[in-house]
Amino acid sequence: MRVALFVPCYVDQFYPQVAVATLELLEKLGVEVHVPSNQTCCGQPMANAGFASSTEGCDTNFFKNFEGFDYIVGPTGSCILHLKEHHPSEKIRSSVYEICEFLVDVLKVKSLSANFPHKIGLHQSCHGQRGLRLSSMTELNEAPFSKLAQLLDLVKGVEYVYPERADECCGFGGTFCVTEEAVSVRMGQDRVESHLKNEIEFIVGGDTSCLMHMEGILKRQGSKVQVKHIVEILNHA
Amino acid sequence: MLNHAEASEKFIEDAERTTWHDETLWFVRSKRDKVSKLLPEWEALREQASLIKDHTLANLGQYLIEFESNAQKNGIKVHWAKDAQEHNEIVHSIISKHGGKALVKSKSMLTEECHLNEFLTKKGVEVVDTDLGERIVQFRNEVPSHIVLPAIHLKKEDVGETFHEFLGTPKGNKDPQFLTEAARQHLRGYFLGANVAITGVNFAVAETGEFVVCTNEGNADMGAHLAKVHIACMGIEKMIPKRKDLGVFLRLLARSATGQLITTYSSHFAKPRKGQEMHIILVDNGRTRQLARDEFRNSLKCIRCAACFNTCPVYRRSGGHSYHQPVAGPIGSILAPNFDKSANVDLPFASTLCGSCSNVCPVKINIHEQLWFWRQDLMKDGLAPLGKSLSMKGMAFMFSNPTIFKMAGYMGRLVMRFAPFIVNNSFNPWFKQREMPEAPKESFQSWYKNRK
Amino acid sequence: MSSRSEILGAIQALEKREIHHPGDFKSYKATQDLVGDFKNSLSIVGAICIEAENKQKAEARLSEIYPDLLRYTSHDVVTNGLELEAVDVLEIDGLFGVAENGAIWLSDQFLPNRVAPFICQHLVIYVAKSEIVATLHEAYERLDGHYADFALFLSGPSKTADIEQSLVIGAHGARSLTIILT
Ligand code: SF4
Repeated sequence: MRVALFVPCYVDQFYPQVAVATLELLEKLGVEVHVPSNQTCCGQPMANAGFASSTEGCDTNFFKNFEGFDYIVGPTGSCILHLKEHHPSEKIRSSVYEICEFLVDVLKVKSLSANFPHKIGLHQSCHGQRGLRLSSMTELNEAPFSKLAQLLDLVKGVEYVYPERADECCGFGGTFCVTEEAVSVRMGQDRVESHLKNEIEFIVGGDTSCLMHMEGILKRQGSKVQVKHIVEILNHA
Repeated sequence: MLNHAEASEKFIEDAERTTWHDETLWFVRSKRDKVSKLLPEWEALREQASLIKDHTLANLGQYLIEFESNAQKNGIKVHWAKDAQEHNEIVHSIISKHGGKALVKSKSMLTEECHLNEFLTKKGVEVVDTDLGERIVQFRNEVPSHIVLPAIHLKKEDVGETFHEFLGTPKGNKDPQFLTEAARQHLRGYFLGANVAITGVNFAVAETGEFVVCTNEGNADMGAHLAKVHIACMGIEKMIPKRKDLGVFLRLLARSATGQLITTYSSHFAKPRKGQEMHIILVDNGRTRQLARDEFRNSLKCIRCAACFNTCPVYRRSGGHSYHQPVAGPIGSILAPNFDKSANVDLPFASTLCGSCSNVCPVKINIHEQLWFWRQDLMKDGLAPLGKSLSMKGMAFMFSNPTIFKMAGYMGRLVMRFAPFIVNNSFNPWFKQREMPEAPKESFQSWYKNRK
Repeated sequence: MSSRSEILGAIQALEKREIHHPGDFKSYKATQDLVGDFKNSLSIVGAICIEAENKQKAEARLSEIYPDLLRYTSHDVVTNGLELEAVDVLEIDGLFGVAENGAIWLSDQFLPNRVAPFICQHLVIYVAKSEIVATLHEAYERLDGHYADFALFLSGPSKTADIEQSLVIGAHGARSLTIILT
């Protein structure tokens, strides 16, 4: 099994600890992980802004870096969804996995050595949830499930809670966060507020971009609550 | 005209009202959740509705012809209008024949789309909207902000003031019960006196030539059954093949819209009553154009339940008027560019693409995907502001070239670590109400290189 | 070219797509207790429900609910609907009821005038317990081949929530609805 780690551009630059945790976690689970060094971006920022037609170079670069692998695993639902839906290569589309999806569906992880004795608010990011179907969705008449929760259940000490309106969007939305600044921020403030009502210590999710947005709001409010990517919990000793 | 982002910013300035708007509509969504979950066949019903509509759209010509011929047999006069102008003229010519100076109109998003009120008012015809919410916004010289709850942007204080001004209710009275009663009395007069009634159409049945109109207030029926002339206006996409299909749609419509089991009145009009004239106008106004577009065709499946409005986190926090279109919300954002691309270029971007709209849609329109497709379409047509195209070009170049990407990332982090004022200022919309992420010492890639 | 041929022409010019009608829909689970479900739905939609063996027995209850009001029981055709404006309480027959939503099928063959159930102040509908179907699918099944010039499903009294989403009964149609289950 040849597994490559895909580190989205902004994770590489701003949240390296998320990529580190992903890498370490996979290695702990016995996976040999390759990190193609010339990777850049999945192309989503441009495509969601309406410039999918300009992502050719980006797509080609991605292909060059990742074509040789059975699985391409990354820690952000949104980028993975973009690749799955829009990358021109069928090979790439069928081998990309979001990390939780990979742990549950491919590695079928049944136990973890993680320990995280804190109360956390679980944030289901839309693209992971509705796009990749990482969990059930409140709009549908379906049995509840969550791959994220399933993994958290393997972590010692952690208590996770859902906010009211369990799967409302946080308002990040790619370029939306700046082009529609007012709505984006208001959505983020509302989301943060409903998490804070649960008296949690961390907001935890699977999409670093949503976390970055909520972190920006938390910090501006001077809150002590921090954000963490779920792999940081799953990899926490 | 303000674009969506600008209008939303204004809306949100009143934080308390925004909270109220958001919570009220969320409550409607919750009611929808509750009743939909009581039906084990809910998802199968949605699928069925979607398939029926797909089938109908693939055979639209044939069904329109079948409907026309059955309706004519029933004694209904059928008209065809290729655009809003023609629709309005047909309505006007019917009215002129009957010498009416005032007409009562129940809710019809199509007539909003065609700006019928303006047209008729200019011709000296008084149009009285009889749906309570629509009457309220009509008094205020506004347009509906929601297709099911037209006055949802207003508080009862606003309505109280408006009614004080126009109906002479006591100043300061804002009791919904009292105000509704005042409207009832006021509108009854118009119902009893009107020569012509206009209604919308929820479903037109090809098999029988009948059409169904759904309301809770009973205003469509009050108008239609008393007036000498009934004009029903519908977009050609309102067609369904068979009467039995109504079972599927009527089960979905009210549950999706308001969480009701069914609307109070689901009226089936097949023939005019004795001595009455019944007209139906089949309107294209861009629908055949949309039908020809593979990516956007199935937006025509919409049954106007507004579930996508109520679930939309952006709509709830920006209000219907921020969409500057008769049909707001997610569905409005995928319909609007079909009418005018450059005037509505902002709308497909007024979304985080969270996908909740597609999940609640009773006819399973892939709304959020169509938003994405419109973004591509509009940018391809060169409708992006110059700055945006340039920055996209820059981004595309950087992401195609790993060396440049690494360099840029390095520089970026450097700036943020040692000269944060370059980004932390009012020119950066991120920073206005959010902190920037803290820049780490090194990127993951450089950490990884050193690790080995 | 007429707009009709222009519109139909534009549609016909499109590539043909074969998509079949999915067929009739069957609801999942037949309810055991049609009358019980119907009564439950009636209470949800804000209707009053009275069980009475026949019209005479219902009489006492009706005069309690609507004391001193002008009641109109005739089914004779009234050509001018405006004449019904003065009716306080209209009593009519419904053909059947739908358990899942409390709707009652009213056909203009059994109405003095189409506007009757809307223009009266209060509405009373008689429905036989034996005439309740489970869902709208069964309802349309039953209606198959029976066409009316005008007919409707009526569920509950007229209502609106257009002012701040607070529910007000009695918008333009009847202010109250009483169902007599016989
Ligand atoms: S798009 Fe779907 S959810 Fe939105 S109004 Fe139309 S039918 Fe309802």
